[in-house]
Amino acid sequence: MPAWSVIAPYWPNLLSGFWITVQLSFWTLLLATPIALAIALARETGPRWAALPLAILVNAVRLLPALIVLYFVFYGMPQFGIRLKPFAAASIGLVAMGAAYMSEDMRGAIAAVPKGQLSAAAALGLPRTHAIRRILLPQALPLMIPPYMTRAIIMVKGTSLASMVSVADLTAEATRASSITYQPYVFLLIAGGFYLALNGILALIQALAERHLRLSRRTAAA
Amino acid sequence: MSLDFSSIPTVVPALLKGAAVTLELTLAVLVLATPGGVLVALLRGAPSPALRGAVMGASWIFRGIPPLLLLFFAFFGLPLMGLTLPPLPAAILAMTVYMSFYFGEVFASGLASVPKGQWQAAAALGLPRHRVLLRIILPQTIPAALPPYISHATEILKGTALAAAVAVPELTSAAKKVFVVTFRPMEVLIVAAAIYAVLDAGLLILQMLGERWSARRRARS
Amino acid sequence: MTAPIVSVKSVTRRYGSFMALDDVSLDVMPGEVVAIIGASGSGKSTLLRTINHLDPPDEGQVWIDGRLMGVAEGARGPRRLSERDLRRQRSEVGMVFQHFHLFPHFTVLQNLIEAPMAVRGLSRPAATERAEGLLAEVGLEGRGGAFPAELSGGQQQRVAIARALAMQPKVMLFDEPTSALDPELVGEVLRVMKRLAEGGMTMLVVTHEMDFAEEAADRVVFFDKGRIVETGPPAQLLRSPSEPRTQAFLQRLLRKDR
Repeated sequence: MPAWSVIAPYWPNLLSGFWITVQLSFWTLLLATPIALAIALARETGPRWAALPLAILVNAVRLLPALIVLYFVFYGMPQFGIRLKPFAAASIGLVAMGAAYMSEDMRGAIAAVPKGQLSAAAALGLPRTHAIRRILLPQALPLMIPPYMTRAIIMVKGTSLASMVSVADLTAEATRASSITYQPYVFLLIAGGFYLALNGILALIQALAERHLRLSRRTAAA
Repeated sequence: MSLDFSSIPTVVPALLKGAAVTLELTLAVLVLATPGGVLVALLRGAPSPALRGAVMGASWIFRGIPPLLLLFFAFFGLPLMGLTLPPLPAAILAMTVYMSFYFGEVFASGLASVPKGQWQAAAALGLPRHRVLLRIILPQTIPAALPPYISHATEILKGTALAAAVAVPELTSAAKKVFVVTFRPMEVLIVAAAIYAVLDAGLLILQMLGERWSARRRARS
Repeated sequence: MTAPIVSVKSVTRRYGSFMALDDVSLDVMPGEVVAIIGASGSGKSTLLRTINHLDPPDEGQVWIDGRLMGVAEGARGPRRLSERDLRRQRSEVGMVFQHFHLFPHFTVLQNLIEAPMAVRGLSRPAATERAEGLLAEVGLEGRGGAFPAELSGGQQQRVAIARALAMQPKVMLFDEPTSALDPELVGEVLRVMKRLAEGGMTMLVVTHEMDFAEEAADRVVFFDKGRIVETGPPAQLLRSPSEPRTQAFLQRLLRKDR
């Protein structure tokens, strides 16, 4: 194991890279989640004219490698005069990818709520939006959490792609330090440790969220 | 600025060459990671708690770090251990390890879906353990494991784009190599995306056939 | 002569090429209890769902208490009712489902007050008071704090009846309300329904319980292949049906019971 003296000069860079990775993860999740939920609801409960184009869009994005999507934003958009900073370009690409996959997960959870629930709400005369907010979503939410957290971890790992479009994130800083010092082990291991820590926190949040739901809802699904 | 595809025909051969490498990489990882996944799943059920724990820990680690990092590790890190690999084998190695642990999870839950009574019934007949596994248990895991297996398999194709980071001349890096010269990234990326879509479509058809097959198998049992 | 409270006029409903309802007409008088019998897939349940427009008919009309479901009488002739007004109409028709469809994440009380508060604009205390009275009526006094999963199937179905009654509907539709219940729990639900019938509620009941049809219904309607084959007072239709198809259906049912 190399001495701390090898690591020390690059430690601030690694930390700033980690901070960029945290920010990327935070923004991608924060933006992708509501977009994904809106897409999932529109496709599951919305009119056909909204559901069909969204289905095409989501599946088109899901057909592509994430890196190609990032290239579209970073290299392709300037051709139309849209010049973005690397961080913004990476965020947009990652949000598009994340929202597409996440909406599929959420759609599965929404579809798992028995159809009779919305029939019963409609028979009582409850407004559609009210039924979605008070009847459908509370039941779909517990089903969404496990796939959501799995997806969140995949998205956090996916932020490493930002390094391919000039974002100085954790992966970029670790590879840069590796190639300068010819000590790839230590820097890649440190980076790996940081990613695991980040995902560990997400796993912890998942465990807490699931426990909270269990406590606040003593019922099994009827 | 509008799109202009007039220069595309001249770059298509380069892209198709890249697509061939993408396909090669995808198939190699698929072929190697599938038995790898079976191995991981079986080790997760190993009698030794230490071994079980080690496999589960490794699974957590390898599924928790970005595959891009694994790729760099195989490409830059292994040479220090005396194992210098050209880009393509390094990429195959990294992605195989990564996917083996994902497949391992899929197969492990497939194994868990077989009722315990099957083990007991086979054991009661006096069948040896490996025979029980091969002839009785594994065939029954297939219907449950096939759909998630195929959906992970389609992820391999998209994951191969990462190999661009270590200079494997696959489709994404071929595209980039072209558009840094032509200065028309959008057109080149659209063509590359279309090629990915075609490759994906092939896998999706396989997925649909597989899902229908396994649904029928389940309905029958 | 009084006007019918429910009037189904030449209603047709198709699913793809399948004819679920084929030119069905039916009038129900206020306070009348109509039992609808027939094999599964004969269109009985679809009829209930078209009456409250959960499944709007392809052709024909449904009138509830003198108003045309789903259609507004504008100054320039009829037009489609807004979603909001259709909801209001629908809330005047109570529906009880085979599988209860209670909201599992709500307590019994919340199940009963949600719609009166959201649709009728009742205050929480007023809705709660009404709900507690209804719970007492269905024999579940004091169970408002329970979650549906903590109740037996029979109790859940009684809650579902109370939930529908909380909207003070003009008509109650029952879609095989006892078919999903264990045999020993059927009686408690039927007792509640009989009391409701005696109280003067207009009821359309899709059922396989011939005893209930015989004792509680004023009229029995036999459905087959999306059409009404025969209709009459229970004693006549169940004991000496005139149509061969009705006879065959009742005989099959009788054999199953033995």
